[in-house]
Amino acid sequence: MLGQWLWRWPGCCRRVAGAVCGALLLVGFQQAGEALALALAWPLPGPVLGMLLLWAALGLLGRVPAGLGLVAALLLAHLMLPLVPAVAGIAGQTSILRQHGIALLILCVCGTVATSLSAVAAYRLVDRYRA
Amino acid sequence: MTTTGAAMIWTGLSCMAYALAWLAQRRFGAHWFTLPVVSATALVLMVLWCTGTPDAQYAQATRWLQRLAGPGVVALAVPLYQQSGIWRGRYAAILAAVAAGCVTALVSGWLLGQMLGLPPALLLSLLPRSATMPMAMSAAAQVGGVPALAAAGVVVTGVVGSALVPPLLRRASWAEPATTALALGLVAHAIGIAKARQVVPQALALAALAMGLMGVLTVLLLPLLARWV
Repeated sequence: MLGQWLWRWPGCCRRVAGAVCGALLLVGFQQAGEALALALAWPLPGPVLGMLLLWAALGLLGRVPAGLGLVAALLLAHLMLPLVPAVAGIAGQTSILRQHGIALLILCVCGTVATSLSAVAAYRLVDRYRA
Repeated sequence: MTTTGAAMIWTGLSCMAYALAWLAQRRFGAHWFTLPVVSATALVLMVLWCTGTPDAQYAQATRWLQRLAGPGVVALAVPLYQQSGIWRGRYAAILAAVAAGCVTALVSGWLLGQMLGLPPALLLSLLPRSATMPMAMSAAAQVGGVPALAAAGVVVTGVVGSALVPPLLRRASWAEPATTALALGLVAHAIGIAKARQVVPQALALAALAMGLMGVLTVLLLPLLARWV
């Protein structure tokens, strides 16, 4: 039992260390993106720039480090969790919601239908000429 | 209550509400009301209402949880790299979709707002509703909108979009993985990407790409439209 545990220990340790490095990598690239956005005065948010930087770095590296893949899969599976407080923040806008809530909902529903249909129609139109 | 204690309690509660919402979605299947952002937020709002906690205090206490969204967006680089085969030879189609989607989002928002008689400040805040939240807030502030209202429009569009887009495309029989992911990322930004991760994980990179391009194009086009209006 103990022998088995000792046998597995280094591998387990390496995976945990890899995951910690992956998490640090994600935070580091976000910080780099934020610094870049600030330095260039671009209207892009730091995380989006960080995503582009990490994408370029992975392209140069030619593979996804195991630890990074592990952390990224975990974060992507639960992308909605950090959005919960942001969505709850809408309750702070009670006066606007009471006055214009229905209009806002109509605008968002109709706008969403029009936007998604026109985007997919354009995609299909151009994609057909490729073939 | 100390700030740290409040932060731990409210963050823990949000995670618990999310876990319950996640289990409910597994149990009852994917409907708009089982989308974890909707059901978990409803639970959180109920607790806030029952305990009489001000909304600002909850937002302050869950700052650290909200910061996780940043690394989550950076993590999208992994599917962007792994699924890079998916847009080979489709660059023109993707750009056309984003351009058409962005123009339609801005113009349809403006026309609908005029018809519904919305006040100008609210209307301008709702135009960038398909960009990600930080981009929409800064874009709205640039043209004379209100960032908080822009955030509300972004949230409502994200929830509505991720609920409506998959069944809408199925009804139009346009529901390939690529088009569904593209439309979700384009219309419903981060919430749509979370939905795409559930329904079309093999094309998640397209959703991430569409969100980024849509945000950039919205930031570029909105001042032009606002000047012309």
